[in-house]
Amino acid sequence: MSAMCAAPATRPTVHVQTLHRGLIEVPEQDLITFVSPLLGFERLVRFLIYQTQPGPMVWLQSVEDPAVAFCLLDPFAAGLDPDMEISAADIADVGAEGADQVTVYTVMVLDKDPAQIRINLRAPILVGRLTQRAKQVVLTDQRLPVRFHLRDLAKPKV
Amino acid sequence: MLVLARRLNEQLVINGEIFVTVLGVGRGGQVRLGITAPKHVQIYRHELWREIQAENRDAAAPATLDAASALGQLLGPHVPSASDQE
Repeated sequence: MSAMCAAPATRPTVHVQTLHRGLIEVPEQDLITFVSPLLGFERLVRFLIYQTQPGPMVWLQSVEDPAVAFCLLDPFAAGLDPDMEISAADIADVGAEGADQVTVYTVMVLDKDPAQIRINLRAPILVGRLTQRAKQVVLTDQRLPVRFHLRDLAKPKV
Repeated sequence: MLVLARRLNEQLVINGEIFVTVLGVGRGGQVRLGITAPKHVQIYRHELWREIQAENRDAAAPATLDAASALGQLLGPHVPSASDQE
């Protein structure tokens, strides 16, 4: 047991049961806390973000419910550069002092059929990089689709 | 469900902090409401709220890593495909 306790006492670790990587041990301070919940998942507050491959895609694993994991896409890192206007109030809610301290993710619906894979550009998830606080925001811009199919990327821009 | 009748410009108070005002009643049955509430209170049109909730639920359905790697094709050069690693 003592061999597992490599982290100093100031960085307590927790074990998180993940959907794709089994049980993993992470510093407790790495966990994300939702200050405003994911719609439909109001009871889930603590999450872990981890990757199974490098790139703009991450997994958002619920700590409280191991069966709940979302696939998130950082649309800016993916080169989609959506026109999202994030309000100063939302940035402040995740404990950030500016947009540069916030990572924006979109919730992705995966499907065996690639044509059905889509992201929600209307309700992105903001994560304060320094605070690990997160919230799902609903943007006011009605042009942002709740279902943006990635297959549409192949089409010329309107 | 509580049912209350209100006229134009009349208000409701919820929890002593949320004020709903009837701003307009249109002939087509459309009602315009003004709402003032503390910042932490989230207010959405029900259709949008339901749509986002449903999309979140779809997203939380156990997804396979295979489906995730299919993304590589869609995003093209932006995303390293699974075969690029290892």
